[in-house]
Amino acid sequence: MTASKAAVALLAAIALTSGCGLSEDSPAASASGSSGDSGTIKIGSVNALSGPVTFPDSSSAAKAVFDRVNAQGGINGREIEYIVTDDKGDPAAAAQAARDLVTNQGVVALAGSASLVDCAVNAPFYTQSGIVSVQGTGVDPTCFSSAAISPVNAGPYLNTAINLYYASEVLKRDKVCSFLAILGNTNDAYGQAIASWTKLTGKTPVVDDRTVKPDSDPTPFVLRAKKEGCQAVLYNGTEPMAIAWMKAVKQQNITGIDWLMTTAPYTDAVAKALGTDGDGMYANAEFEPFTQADSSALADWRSLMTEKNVPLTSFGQGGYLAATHLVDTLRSIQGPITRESVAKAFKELKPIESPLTGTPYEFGDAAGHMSNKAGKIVQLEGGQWRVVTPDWVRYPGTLG
Amino acid sequence: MRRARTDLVRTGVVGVFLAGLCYGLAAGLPAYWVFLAMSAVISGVLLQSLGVVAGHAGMVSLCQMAFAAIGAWTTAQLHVWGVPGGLYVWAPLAGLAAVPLGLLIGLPALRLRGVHLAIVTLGFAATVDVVLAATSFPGTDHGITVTRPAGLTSDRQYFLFCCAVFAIVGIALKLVRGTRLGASWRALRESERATAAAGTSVPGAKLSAFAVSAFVAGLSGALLAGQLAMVVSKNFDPGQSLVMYAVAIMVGAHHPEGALIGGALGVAVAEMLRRFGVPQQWSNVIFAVGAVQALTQGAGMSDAIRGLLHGVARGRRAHPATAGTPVPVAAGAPAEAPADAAAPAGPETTGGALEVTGLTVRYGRVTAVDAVGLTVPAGTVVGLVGPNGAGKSSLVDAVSGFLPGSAGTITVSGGRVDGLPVHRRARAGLRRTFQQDRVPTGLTVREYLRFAARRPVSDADIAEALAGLVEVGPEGPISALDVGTRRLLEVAGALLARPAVAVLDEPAAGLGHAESARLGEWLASVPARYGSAVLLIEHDLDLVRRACTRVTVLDFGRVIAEGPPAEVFTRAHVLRAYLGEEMAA
Amino acid sequence: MLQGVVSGLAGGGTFAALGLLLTVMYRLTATVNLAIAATGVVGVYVMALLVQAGWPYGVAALAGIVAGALASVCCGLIMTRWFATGGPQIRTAVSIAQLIGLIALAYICFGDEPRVLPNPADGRVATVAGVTITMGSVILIALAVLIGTGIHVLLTRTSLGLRLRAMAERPITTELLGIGTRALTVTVWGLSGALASIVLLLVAPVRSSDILSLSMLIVPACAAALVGGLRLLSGALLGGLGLGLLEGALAGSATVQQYRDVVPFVVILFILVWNQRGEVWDAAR
Repeated sequence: MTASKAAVALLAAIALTSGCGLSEDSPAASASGSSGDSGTIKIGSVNALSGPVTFPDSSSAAKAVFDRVNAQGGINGREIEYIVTDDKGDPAAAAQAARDLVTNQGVVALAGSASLVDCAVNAPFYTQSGIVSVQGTGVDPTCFSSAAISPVNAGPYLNTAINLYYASEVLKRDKVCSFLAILGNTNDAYGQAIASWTKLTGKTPVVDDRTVKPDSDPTPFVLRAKKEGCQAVLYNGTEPMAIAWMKAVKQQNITGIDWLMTTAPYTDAVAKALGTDGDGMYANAEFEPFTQADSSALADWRSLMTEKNVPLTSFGQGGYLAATHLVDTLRSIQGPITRESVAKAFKELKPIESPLTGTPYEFGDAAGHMSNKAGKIVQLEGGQWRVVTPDWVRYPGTLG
Repeated sequence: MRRARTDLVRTGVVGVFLAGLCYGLAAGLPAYWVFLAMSAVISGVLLQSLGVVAGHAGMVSLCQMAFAAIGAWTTAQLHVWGVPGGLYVWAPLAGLAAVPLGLLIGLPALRLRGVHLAIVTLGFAATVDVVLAATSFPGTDHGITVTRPAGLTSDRQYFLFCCAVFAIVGIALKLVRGTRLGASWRALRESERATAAAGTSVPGAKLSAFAVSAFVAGLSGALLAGQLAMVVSKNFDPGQSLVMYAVAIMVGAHHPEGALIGGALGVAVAEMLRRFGVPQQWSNVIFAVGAVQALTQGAGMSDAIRGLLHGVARGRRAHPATAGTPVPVAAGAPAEAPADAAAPAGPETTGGALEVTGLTVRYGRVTAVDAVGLTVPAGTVVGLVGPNGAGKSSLVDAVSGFLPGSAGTITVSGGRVDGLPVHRRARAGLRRTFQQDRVPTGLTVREYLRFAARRPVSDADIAEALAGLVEVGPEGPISALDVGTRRLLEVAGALLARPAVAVLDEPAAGLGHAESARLGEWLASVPARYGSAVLLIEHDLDLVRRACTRVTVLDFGRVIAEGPPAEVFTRAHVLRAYLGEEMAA
Repeated sequence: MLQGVVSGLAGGGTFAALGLLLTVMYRLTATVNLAIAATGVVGVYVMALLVQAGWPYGVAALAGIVAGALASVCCGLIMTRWFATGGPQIRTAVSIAQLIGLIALAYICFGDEPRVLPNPADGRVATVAGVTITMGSVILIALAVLIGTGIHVLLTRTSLGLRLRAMAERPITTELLGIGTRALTVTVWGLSGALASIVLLLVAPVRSSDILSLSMLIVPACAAALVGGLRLLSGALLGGLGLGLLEGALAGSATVQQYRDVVPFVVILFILVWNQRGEVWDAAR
């Protein structure tokens, strides 16, 4: 058989060739990009820009910050080149985008990324490449458990813990229930959040239902909450899921339950889509609530975003904050700005206070990072978001 | 012999060239492009798995990503357990782990086809996704990532490893393609009945196609886990399975180069869109349009390319080809044929090659065949005639096993076969052909005859089987033949298996008068050439007279006459039944 | 339990209505149109765009229905232009490609931001077992029954129905009789798209209204249609309702929660294999 001979020939050839040469690329050494003192400083980000769920505002806000820095003369005279990539919510595309940024374009750091899959897929690669990522919006649990990544946002797990804490300790509800949509490998992270709250308060959820699916009809779940006598219900749905949930609540005419959402539905679009149907719904703002027009903490952010035509959203705050922290850190670096020096600067970073967050931003040498551990509770009323807690609700426990 | 050697040299050169190319790419490309090429090759492996089940066997499978997910999950688990051997061992184990699921999905495929199968496989993909999403991949919660073994740590080395896996899969599938198993997959695509009638178990062929496909998909999952170090359930989204199916159709993934093109396209399109700042969603639009386009052509890219190359090659050596492969046209049997026939594997019994007693077929309240008895003695050609609706086709179906509800006993060379499934009857020495054209068009003449023979046959055997019956070269694709020729080829295939008895259902339909006469002579020589008896169902009474020593006449499901043709065809009631009004007028 | 069952009514109506459309399309055009829910999504989003632009709901909804019908007609034209003689395998593949393409195009055209989706039927009708039955679910179920009986009457009692059946069973003969089958087929596609849009206009405001989730309603809809073997209208109707009630009941029960989504699949698999148990061979003879 000719084919079998060909097989032998091919295999032998491959075995021969793979044996010799092709020594290991050091990803850090290869294409270290804008090393030295000349040219632009390249910064990258991996974002969900197309596909089922998109977060375009984070990178837009980060770009606004970098543009302003460039307009004011850059970092020691060097301009920042911000490269935004799209992962369309697809892990393969996210992996491809990260390789492009790190090995092809030679970015020195990542900032303002907002993606559902970036951390989970790329965390090992970032660690291996010796690059750091100041995540704008981290969703996946890996975002909070990688040495190379430190998100500026609190994330859905801490959000969950804060909501439970707020429901039981501030609103003083006895029967707290949680309904969670588990997407990807988030089950254990949510479990840890609930366990942490239990450890802190000694209370357990009356219902812990983790079977909600993005496309399921929420009516049966809403009814279950009513049947089990829940007084406060935590739900982690995204924008369309939260809208469908509250519409089901309205349809079923259920009253007397506090509905607590994570940060995801805290948007103007949700407020508009729900109108008065969403009356009473709580959400947890990870940053200084962006809907407060008069907040002095937001003055700079608001004017910059308005100037650059970036929508005012929570994601935009994350991107702004990530870019700002990165610029501050870059300015502090003595000597050439390279991937190594940036990583070193972040590993030695002192906590950065910001009026936009309740707790300072940290990086450092830890194996995982979750520095934003506070939120402000907002509530929907008549199609408008209103701040319920003018002071930060800081979560006293620890996750995981 | 010399041609075989030049072929060998040529494939060797191509192999070395490809291996050199892989090495060159691995060594020469920028690191980022190596990563992209790696993704392309891994998708290529997955597309090859679709090539088996959808391309070869023609079954819809929308759950390939689920198989890949099982592979990746297994790899991660083996890593967490610390099983020695690294990816070299984990990858094949991952493939094996996907096999039971492949078999599980293959089981409904025994009864479900087309859109039913599409929905079930899509549902299966969604189910696996739900389960995987609820139970995260091993190690991900603790930050344990799949590490590559020594020798594969750099992306360049790992790229070569992926190329090697792709090549092994491609070559293995090519080897399988040449075997009866591979031919049975392609036969399945054309007709399940014909596949079974050729002695091949249809459930076996379907299940093996799904098992092999799942194995290959599992391998690709393992490669992906090794490439990315950490995979999540979203890597194996059911939507991806849909897109992959469209891509497989578009490129024609049943050829390795098609699978590779598909993998490369997936990566290249995404990269181009990214470079030009176009939303990534457009890639799915492109693949959807491409798939529809390929479906209108009836062939994917790889088939088109092969057709093109083939056309060029044929144009270049048009003259030597026709001169070099003369079509064997011999009027009578070759000299050595009787010598061959002296040692047939078939009948040695003194009794009938085929004996049918009390055969009854009922469809509801209609009795199509009513207690028919029939004997085909060894070494004879017996005719079965009767007007339309006399029950001939029902009788053939019942004898060959397609009507399991029929009553009566059927023995082949003295052994009972009633109660056996179709393919077991075929193996017991009972072959049949079909009125409809059911010869698998995806095979060449030689591949088909080897598949039908179910025994090792040399090129000489094949030439002899074709001699005097049908004028085709063994290399030609069956798709290029007309229906009448295909039908004669089916007859040649059935007899090449040297069955105890061959039941030929109207083999002369569509033949001209001269061809029909030649077929009659050839059929008469069959017992001497192959040692097989023949039951010939035919409308053409001249052909029956020429070929048969005895004839049975069927009317309204009953035997109304039996004896030598010359005598039977003169009986009045036969003429009345058979020629009906024509006689009256 | 009862509570869960009642809460599954809306879903049941949806699955049944879409399942009926699938069944009818299969009978009349020999195609299982996997993209039917996606064409309805086009209708919903066109409506949402127009409402956002200030159009009154009624007009916007009408425009959406027309848009859904047009999208369906496009799919139908592709199918009849190039695949009129294709086997079921090829048509299934084309349908899969159309589904992928439509979803991708919908994301490109409409984006992913949540839309204001006015609910035309959010009144309350009654309260059973502590569950409020909304106008929407009543209308959906009524719509499903209406589609089912309407089509039944159309096919069996009218001359148009006769022509449609003739076309489905003997396309070439019908063509020879001077009846333009292509125009008829495309009309069937267009009407199905319009009806799918109506169904989705009712469903989208109460379900998760993103493009993918709505398009994937095709999976339970297929399951419903398969209960009737893609031929029986009554089977599709009952299958859809049953599936919706099952979904509701399972959501309320704590025991099978974790793998709740697996149950309908297993049920369908068994029904399907049982229905098709006699289909040992691919061709009739």
